[in-house]
Amino acid sequence: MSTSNRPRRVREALIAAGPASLAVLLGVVPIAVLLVESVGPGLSLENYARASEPLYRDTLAYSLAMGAAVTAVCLAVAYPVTYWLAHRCPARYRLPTLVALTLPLWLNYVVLNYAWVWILARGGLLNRVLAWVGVVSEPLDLLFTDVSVFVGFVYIYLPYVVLTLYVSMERLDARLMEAARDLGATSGRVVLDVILPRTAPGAAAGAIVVYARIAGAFTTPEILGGPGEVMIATLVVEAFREFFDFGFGAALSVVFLCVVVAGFAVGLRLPRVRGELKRW
Amino acid sequence: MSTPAAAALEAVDLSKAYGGVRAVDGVSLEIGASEFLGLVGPSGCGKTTTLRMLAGLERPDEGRVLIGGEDATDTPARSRDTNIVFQDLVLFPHMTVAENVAYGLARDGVDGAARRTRVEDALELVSLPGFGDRDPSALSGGQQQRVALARALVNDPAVLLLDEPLSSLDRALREEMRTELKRIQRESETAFLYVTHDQESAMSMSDRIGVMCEGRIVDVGPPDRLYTRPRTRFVAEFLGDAATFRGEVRSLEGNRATVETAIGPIDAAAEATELSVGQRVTVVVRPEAVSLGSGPFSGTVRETAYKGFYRQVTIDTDGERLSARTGAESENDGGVGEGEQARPTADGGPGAAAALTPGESVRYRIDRAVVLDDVDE
Repeated sequence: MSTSNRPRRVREALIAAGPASLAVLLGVVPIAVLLVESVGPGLSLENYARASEPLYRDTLAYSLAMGAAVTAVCLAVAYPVTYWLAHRCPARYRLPTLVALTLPLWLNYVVLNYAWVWILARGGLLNRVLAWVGVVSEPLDLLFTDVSVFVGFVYIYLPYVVLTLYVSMERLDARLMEAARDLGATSGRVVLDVILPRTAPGAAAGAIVVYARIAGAFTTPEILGGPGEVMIATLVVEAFREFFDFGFGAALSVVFLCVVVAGFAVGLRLPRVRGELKRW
Repeated sequence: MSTPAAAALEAVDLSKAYGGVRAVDGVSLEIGASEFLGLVGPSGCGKTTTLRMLAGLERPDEGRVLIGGEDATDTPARSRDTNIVFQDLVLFPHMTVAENVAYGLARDGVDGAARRTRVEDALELVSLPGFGDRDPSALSGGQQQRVALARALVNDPAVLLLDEPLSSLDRALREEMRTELKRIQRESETAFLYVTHDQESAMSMSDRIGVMCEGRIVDVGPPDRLYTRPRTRFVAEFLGDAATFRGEVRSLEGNRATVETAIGPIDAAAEATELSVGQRVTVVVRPEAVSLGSGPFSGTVRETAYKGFYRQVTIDTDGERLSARTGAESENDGGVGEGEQARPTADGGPGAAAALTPGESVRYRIDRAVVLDDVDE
């Protein structure tokens, strides 16, 4: 028994060790390299000192605020949509509708952004429709503004939020809502007392998935953004690609990572959030 | 029980169709203040839909709902003076027991100390004092039932609507909860409408029972009246075991009729129906009204089944079947050795059925039977 068991245990350990160490390497090594790079050359905090200058601080704050705002809007859109889908939509239309809503997930990210260039440009679809209807006489400058970046972000990240929230929404027992209504709850109270608490894990999951990716996004502000507000990823890429200042780029990235992780850590310490995650 | 002048709740001609199928078809019923009304029927007979219309969770296609004499047909569930105890209870899992019970009060704007006192009173009523801080999921099935009751009773509804809440419990707990429900109903002086397919639960708790079949109420009355003097074959067969025989009225005498059936002439009570000699009728015979051992009828024993405190014997007479119940006896009963008690006795005494074996012929008599003028099929 033991003689035949040992080689098997060793073999199993070896088989498991491969993927496990690969996962650790892929996760830890780049971050370690980034850390080392950010304090070089010669172990100084100079890069971090520069990264905390007002220009970069404001950009970081703007990026995080953009992430929070887009995430909030995505949730606000996803809630009614997934509620309708899980509890009102006839069963046979449910899957087709869900696929249609998440279709952008299957398209190239850059193409998705350019679709909005085509829609929002001065001679684009929206302005032509508005002019034809007679709402505006002069075409609106929508493209290359905060507005176009915002719209692009919502469009691209909404499907992720819809998918994660839908899972929670589908598990929400419709009779809980009936019980609340029966006991005197208005529709608003049903949302507050039943729907939100029961789907909070899904909303949290969706927010975790998209928030940091929006705040750290590069392509969308690059394609849809204007010369005004810059997002943090643009500065990082600039540092690497144009100034070859790898240390500074690395420092900016580390600061961003730390701020995002710290944000989640604070969130996790709130007992209510912890309770929700435990259920999840 | 008597119905007081002002009914707590009244349904008038309620109808509801789903995709062309009439789930509920002209249901009218009345629940007196502090009455326990059972509404029974097989699955899919429309009883739950009726309950949901009374609660305001479903809008009737036709008909009206009156609560305390006032039209509530268009009143939404949240402002209706009715509360539901759902089949699977659906307690709010993210709230404590006290928060669950307090929910209706909070929505009614009852605050602070008044709310706390009423929640405590409600938990006291359902025998769960001090359970307020628990999580509903940490409670047993029976305790969860009690919380659901407290939650639905705390804001004194005119009528409590119960949708088979006991169906998920095991037998012993169900028995216990039946007694508890009845006590709680008495103490809270609230009208209960108890919907179930379990005729045993309904009969043991209800002051009156309404029997539903295919969207209609076929009969309403006190349980004993429905059981001993059913008016339709469906009610006779749904409420307990019954053998039915078709036949022709031979003679009438007062409220007794002699009916010629496939197994022979049966003497039966006929007070509920207007009969004439020669009419085609149905005769209902309950198992406990059949005595084995002697009598004008004879048949072959098909099966005997030990049921605990009685033994059920199925007898075949010329292709017609009926059941009889006799005292069952344990094999180890002391003093049986002498043989006297273990043999079938002439009057179908305790040992009668124990010794009957399938295939044996047996004589029997029918002590009570009811005539119905319901001959369809």
